[in-house]
Amino acid sequence: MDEALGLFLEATVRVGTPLLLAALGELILERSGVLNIGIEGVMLSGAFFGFLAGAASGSPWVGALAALAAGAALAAILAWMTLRVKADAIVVGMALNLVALGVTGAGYLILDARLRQAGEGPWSAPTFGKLLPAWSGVPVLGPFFFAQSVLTWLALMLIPAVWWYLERSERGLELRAVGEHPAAAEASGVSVAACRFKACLAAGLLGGLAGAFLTLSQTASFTPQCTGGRGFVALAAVVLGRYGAWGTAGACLFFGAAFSARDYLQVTGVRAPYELLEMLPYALTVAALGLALQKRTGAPAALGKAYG
Amino acid sequence: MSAEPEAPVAEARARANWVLVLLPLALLAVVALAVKLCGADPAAAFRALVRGAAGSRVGWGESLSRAAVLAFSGLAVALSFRAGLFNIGAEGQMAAGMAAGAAMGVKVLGAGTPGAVALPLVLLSGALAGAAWSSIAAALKQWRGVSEVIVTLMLNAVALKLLALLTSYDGLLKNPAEVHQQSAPLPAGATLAAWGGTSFHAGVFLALPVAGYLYYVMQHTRAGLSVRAAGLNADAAGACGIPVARVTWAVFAGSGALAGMGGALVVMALGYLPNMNPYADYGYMAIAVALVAGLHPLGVLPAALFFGLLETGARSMERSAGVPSQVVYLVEGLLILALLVRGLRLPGR
Repeated sequence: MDEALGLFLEATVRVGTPLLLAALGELILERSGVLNIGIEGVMLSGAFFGFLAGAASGSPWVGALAALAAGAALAAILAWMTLRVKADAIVVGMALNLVALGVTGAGYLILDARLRQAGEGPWSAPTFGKLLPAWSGVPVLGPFFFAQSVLTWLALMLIPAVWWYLERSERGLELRAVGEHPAAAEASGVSVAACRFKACLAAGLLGGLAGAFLTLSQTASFTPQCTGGRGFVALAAVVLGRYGAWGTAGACLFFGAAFSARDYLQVTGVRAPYELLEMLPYALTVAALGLALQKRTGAPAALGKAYG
Repeated sequence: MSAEPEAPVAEARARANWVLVLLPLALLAVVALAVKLCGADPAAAFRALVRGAAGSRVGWGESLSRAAVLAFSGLAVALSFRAGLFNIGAEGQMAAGMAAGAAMGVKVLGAGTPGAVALPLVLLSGALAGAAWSSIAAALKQWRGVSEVIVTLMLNAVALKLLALLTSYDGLLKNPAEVHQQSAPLPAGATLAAWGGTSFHAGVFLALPVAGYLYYVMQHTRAGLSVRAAGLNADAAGACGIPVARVTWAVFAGSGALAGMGGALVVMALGYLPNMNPYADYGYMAIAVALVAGLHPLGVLPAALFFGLLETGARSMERSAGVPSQVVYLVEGLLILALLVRGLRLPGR
């Protein structure tokens, strides 16, 4: 295996990590019957507040905590709006995206202006360490496995955990029942609202962490709108993965590869317009959805429907 | 859906009252906080907002031309939401309209084409491209059962990159004489001149008859009734003999055409295709416009004007008081949430 291919595989897993974190959270949430279009905003908030707290404290772990809190805060609004107010989740999600766009965009410019006033350079955030940096020299497997961030390993370990939770645990069975037939779940003694609220929080925490990965691992800085539609891609990954943990993870790695293909193709000398390669992951998503999906999608029966 | 018919109504009314009191206060607090964080004087910032948006001919000109773009994308959103379809791709359909309008102007029309021929052709190509772009989502929804939400969001990203692609290569639309990435200029006949030193142009007026026509179709024709019925309850509408599948195709195409026309107007006013959408995110703001308008075509006009003034004012506030204009997004997001808390519901939901 040549070096370029090794780097491509490394990048696939690295770029797939935030997608994986966000999509696994979204998967849990959607299996409970709630759709979160605001996942893009959740990620963006995680990216910004993770960067802010990380850079201010000097510790990526403090940054991650802030990102978790920011994600959970937006998710709490989503939960309240959909479960209590019973507003349409798609509209709520788009509103949350606008809120996050405003807070992070304005927040970034305010920080920038203040730093310039104080005569300081732009902040740089500390990044998460590699798991086993000493082993990254191992050919092929080195960059692929051991050069990855600890968050990547967390994301990879979450795949079987989420699978076990959804498909094998009693709580997961309850959650699926809530997503398929909330009235029946309620009759059997499960609180639909409580279950969906917890699912919202889980999705918010993981979405926030996914954002933090962008600013505390992949890069050490924040730029406005740096999520660039990755939250929406994570949404697509859940659909493409047919609402299963392994399928969703596979779709995330596929999109990780699509995002990394730009650099790989340029290194290997494929002559294609840069802009065309940038389009690739998004166009591939549409194509993949069109090719893969039949009328039977595996979606929960009560997905996106208010209950009670 | 609701099992208990009376309690939620009373609850919604109670909520409506406190939201109406709290909303303006909350929005003011948000903006004041942003102003404070910037170390600016709130009173001066507010003056800059109002004066910049509506204090001069230049301000009004910019507010109105921004409002026109918001009106077309707002009408696109209102139409699809009324039909119970979540086309959140006005952003991409607008970009597709910009690209096709510019292609028609640069590649097809000759330099001497008179305005009476050139303007309608550019507008039409924008509308067709917008309709074609949204029809991808319609096709995937109808034939493959894919949610239009994800597809339109993805197509937005693709369309924005398309603008960069078209303006970057000489063989496409790029102006070889220009260092900046932008298309060759549209022929003079295909452009809309700005009025007297402002950014106002005649195309702004087009929003009025288009909104009026959409209102007439929705409220006073059989087709409009079909759209509304399909939006309220697609199964019931189908049982009454309304061709719901055809309505879906038509609404997507119409919605895309409206956004695409807005995009064509943008390139006609600019005179070239820029490599980035100068009205970025207006396709998302359009959701706020349509919801504030209660999804009513005529309501879209004042709603678009309000947000056009807000956008222009915020930019002026950014220039003179240093308060980032991105706070507008926050205000819009909170406004939508507040409307939902007040009890705003989409048809059929």
